[in-house]
Amino acid sequence: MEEPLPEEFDIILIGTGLTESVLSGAFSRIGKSVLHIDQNKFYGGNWASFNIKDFDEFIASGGIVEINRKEFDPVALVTEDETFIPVSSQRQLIKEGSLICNLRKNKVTTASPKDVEQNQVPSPKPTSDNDDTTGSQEDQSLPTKIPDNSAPKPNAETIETNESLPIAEVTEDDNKSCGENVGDNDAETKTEEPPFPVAMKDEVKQTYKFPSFDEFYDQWRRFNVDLAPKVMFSRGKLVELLIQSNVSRYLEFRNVSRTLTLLSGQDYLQPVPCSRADVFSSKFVTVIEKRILMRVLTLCANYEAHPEEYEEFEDRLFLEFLCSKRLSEKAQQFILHSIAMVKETSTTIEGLKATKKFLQSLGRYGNSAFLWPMYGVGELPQAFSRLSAVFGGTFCLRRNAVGLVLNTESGKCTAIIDSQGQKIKCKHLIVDESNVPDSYRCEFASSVSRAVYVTDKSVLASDKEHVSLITLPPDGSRGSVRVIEAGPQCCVCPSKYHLVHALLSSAPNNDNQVCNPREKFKEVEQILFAGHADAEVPQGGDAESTDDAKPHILWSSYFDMMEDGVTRDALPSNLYVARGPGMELGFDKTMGEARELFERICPDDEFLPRAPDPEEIVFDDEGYNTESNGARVEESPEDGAGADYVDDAEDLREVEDGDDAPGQVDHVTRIDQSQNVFIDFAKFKNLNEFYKSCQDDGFDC
Amino acid sequence: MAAQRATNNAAQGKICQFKLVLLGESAVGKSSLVLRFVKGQFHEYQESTIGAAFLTQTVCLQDTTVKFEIWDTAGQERYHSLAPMYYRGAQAAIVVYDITNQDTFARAKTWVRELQRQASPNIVIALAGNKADLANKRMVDHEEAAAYSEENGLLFMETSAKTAMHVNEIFLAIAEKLPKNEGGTNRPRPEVDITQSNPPGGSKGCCSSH
Repeated sequence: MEEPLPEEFDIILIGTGLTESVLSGAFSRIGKSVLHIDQNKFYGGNWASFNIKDFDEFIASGGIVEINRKEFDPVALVTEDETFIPVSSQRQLIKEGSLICNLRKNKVTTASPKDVEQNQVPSPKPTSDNDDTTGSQEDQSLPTKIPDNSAPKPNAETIETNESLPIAEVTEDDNKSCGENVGDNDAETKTEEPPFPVAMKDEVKQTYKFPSFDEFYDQWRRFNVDLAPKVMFSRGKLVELLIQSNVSRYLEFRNVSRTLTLLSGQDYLQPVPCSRADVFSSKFVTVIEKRILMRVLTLCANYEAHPEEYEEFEDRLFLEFLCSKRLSEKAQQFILHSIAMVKETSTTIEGLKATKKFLQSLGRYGNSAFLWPMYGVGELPQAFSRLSAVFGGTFCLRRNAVGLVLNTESGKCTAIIDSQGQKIKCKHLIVDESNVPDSYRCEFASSVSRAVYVTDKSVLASDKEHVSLITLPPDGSRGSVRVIEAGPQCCVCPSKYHLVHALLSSAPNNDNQVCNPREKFKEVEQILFAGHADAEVPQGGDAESTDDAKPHILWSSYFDMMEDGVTRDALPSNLYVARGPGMELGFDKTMGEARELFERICPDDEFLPRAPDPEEIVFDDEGYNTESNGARVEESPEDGAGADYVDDAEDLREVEDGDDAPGQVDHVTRIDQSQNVFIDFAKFKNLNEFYKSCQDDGFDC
Repeated sequence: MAAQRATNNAAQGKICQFKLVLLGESAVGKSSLVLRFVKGQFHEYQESTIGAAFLTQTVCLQDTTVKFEIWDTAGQERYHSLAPMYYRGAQAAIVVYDITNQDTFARAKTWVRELQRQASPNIVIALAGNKADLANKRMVDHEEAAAYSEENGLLFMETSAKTAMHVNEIFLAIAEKLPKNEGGTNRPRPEVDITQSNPPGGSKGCCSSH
């Protein structure tokens, strides 16, 4: 059927998560022969991004993959001095997964002619009809069954262009719609449609029309839902690596343009002033607070130079240090939870380090400390995989190892046996956590609880679309919750929607165990959204309440992602296990791990040196034009008859900008250059100098 | 630069940049087509794609300059493991088959279906029957491929990377068919080019030299 794979490689990687993909690129880049396989039909493993259909499928399956395995006896492939170690492929990486769609099926789809007849007129408003009218839930519009070509086009366009849809105001009572879990029990429920009954009230104000279930799922391809949403520190290891290796050319980015938080005692989000510009323009801090906040941030940005400022707090809490600087409680919260993003129990040094890291990243690309990869985090492993392929790496999805072959004497892993019954030799083997042989496993160490929401608008209205990083400080029994919201500009959801990720660390020894991830996020939902399927609606007229402006949850999913349970000490010396995404906000740990593994295997080689830019050629337009009227350019560029070789992009730009360039230059968006930058602080020798500069800028310090 | 751009605009047409991806079975000549188009070269024993899977080439039309950003598969198609990132945002695709090999034509049809399913809805797809210089070994009828293309709204040409037959033409035909308004795409633009950071000093000074 499929072409057999080559029989021997320097490096075999199993799993296309970010760490493995970075390594794959790094090894191919220096000329090692690389085989990279993955049991899934998609790239990224636990780092993947899915469209809505694939996401539904993934959650329903618990991440368990049915591998098309050939019938054979792997042990028969092993010689006398070898031992076969089986790898179980039925590893459940997602637990407690559930899906809820709050949308009604009231719009015709192109999926089924029968439907069209029944539902000729799309319901112009949500009605009070109850769920039974939508009873034919098993029909073709089920997300996983939408016929491939018929679905999206016409509908998608209608939705996109139909700006004048009436906007509905849904009363709070509408939140009492009920949803059920799918996939909660086991994979068998997979074929059931996510339920979406919404008991809309008659007295719904006619200002907004929720999209229907079908409208929503018609656009399934436009979603990119991350399993591991993270942001990239602008000066973090990943960004440096992307630039250094030239892998950045496969990717596109947007700024995480807003940091929001919830201050204790309040029930609405507010922006955290991070940069100099933010601090001075913030309406939420007084003039005096501004001044102190600036002073402290400036100090943190360059704290090593001022040991006298923090020495006595070195062994004490960061919070105490902040207190000592006469920061208001509000400003302390800003720094602790949203800038340093450390725990209340963190030490001063930890806090200073974290704050400095944030401030260093701030302003590198616009008024922001973070970047977000367009199309989601799942693009990152694909980009590094591509680098690997470009330099000769062999890629094969839908294939895994049924087991490893160890040399009995050396204890080293000498080969894998793949699911097609092929024995493939390797010098080194790198696997992700789901491909570790059972004999090296221990109990799962911890897990990350996740919620994903598709909403109708942003959590905090603004005149432009933002990528927002929201930290909800711990409150009572609830731990700190990280939320990332992105919109259609990031190509993670269709227009008119927002995609919201929430993450919560689930320590294994948490006493007040709430097991169900859905339960864990209830409180968060009350803060961020206008209620939920079965969330309690807060009683009436809180003056501060801004519920009307809060987004509605149209679709949601909850799951736990299991983490690392590998006894690393017991591994053969040439078998390496890459960690999963975990709770880290950025990518520094992951990149650090990748580099460390690389250096263990190839200590004398460079890690991801710059990939050369392919030559860029600009045809001399006159020459080309005259020739191309006859639609043919026959001569090779060496003849000099119509082409200019240009060595790199820099020169290319000059050519294009030059007098004989044909007009408007490239469409690559340059970063906004009119930002105030916090990193400025590094260049001031002392605070006085800094204040002087602020005064020059017209700020009163 | 802004001023310069304005003058140029007044004088001439605009430049539109498009991502073009190549698809097709291994060894049908995808990379050879690109090398012929971009460099005017042909190597009989071209190795499997290594190293140069990202080329650009500019084509001038009457009032527009079209800059193709050409992505080659880098061999990831061999075990049917192309990453979706590859098609992501592609505005044009050339699906290549080998006229001396019926299987590659069947695979080309699969790629067309795949593109219709996975790529942007308004992608311009061209079908290229390559190795047309080997007409004496032909296994795929010109008429059959033409009819299939017609049915599916594809541009179609038989090409030869070796003799350069119809190589520029097929790119030119694509360039002409691509929508030129606003860069030809309604795709959201990246906000950040990470190789271009804010100059230290930030707000001050004019740094728009490029």
